[in-house]
Amino acid sequence: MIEWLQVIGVAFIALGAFLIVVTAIGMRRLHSLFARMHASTKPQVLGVIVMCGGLACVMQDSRVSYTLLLVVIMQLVVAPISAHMLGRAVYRLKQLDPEVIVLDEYAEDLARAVQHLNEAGESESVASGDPMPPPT
Amino acid sequence: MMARTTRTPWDRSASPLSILLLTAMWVLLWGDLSWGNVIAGLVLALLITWLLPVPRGPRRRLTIRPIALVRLAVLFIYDIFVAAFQIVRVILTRRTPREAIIRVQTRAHSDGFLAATAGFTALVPGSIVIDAHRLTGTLYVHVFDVGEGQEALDEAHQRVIVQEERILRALGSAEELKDAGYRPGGSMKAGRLTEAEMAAHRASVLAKRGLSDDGRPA
Repeated sequence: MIEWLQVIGVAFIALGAFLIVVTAIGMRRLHSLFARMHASTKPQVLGVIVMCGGLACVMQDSRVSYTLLLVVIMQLVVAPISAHMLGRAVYRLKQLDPEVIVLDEYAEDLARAVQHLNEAGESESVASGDPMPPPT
Repeated sequence: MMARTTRTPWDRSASPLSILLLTAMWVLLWGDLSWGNVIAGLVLALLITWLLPVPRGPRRRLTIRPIALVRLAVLFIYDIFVAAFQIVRVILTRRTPREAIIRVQTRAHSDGFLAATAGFTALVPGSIVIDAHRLTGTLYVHVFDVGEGQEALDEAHQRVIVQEERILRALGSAEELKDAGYRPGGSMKAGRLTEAEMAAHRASVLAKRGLSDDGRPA
């Protein structure tokens, strides 16, 4: 029984390692920053989860398992936040390649916000502020 | 927009839930459920929430619908697997994904649910949130690999809305479900409120706040 758990654990660790390696390859191969962020939030998160599961099976120690559980929870909470912060920052730095984007409704709304402000005679603050009228 | 929450002034009182979660985290870190750990965790939790207060949302009763919560969790885990392997396939086949940024109008009228929807959306297949507009509850979602045509975009849009409904049905109160235009209940089949029911709900919310039908003070 215990040997079986070890085998399953090792298989999980291998799967997790595979997913993380693919993430690393994706960082090199994907061209847009957003596509890279998808790679860093999804296969990477699953890789960490599977690897922690595998480690828990191999170690078979409740203390280690609890800490691994915490690692998984933190990963799930933190990955979307970091992706969101990066995405927002990069979008606003205009580091986006328009070639790969088929539709961008965010740009439409931002353009409308800028127009709205210009009409209100506040063009000074447009560059730095974050005001946006509700989408109609 | 009926009851979108606003940021409360800086408030040093912490919610019991956050203290409970911080204590649980401490206990998990030590991996040992003993009185010493629980008490040390509790003291630390109180200290942390006192030294580093975060703005509190509106005080609400915690609602949990167990079946809806299990459905949310199971589908979420399934989605994480689908999401990971979708991206692995694109990376390994060296295909250039067709990206899009779509605007999604969420339905819940609360910052908490907007944040939860954004978090979940980032981890399920094909989407990450790049910006959220609090006042209107709009999420700007980057879609990794959108198919051809309007239908594919509508589908990506719908996925976010359904995700939100699952979260609301698992954790939203009857009142919050009605605010979002859903019939209260844990089942996804409960459906939307009809026009007449929406009007009745709106009238009752306005009446509770002492406002007349057009939203002005009576």
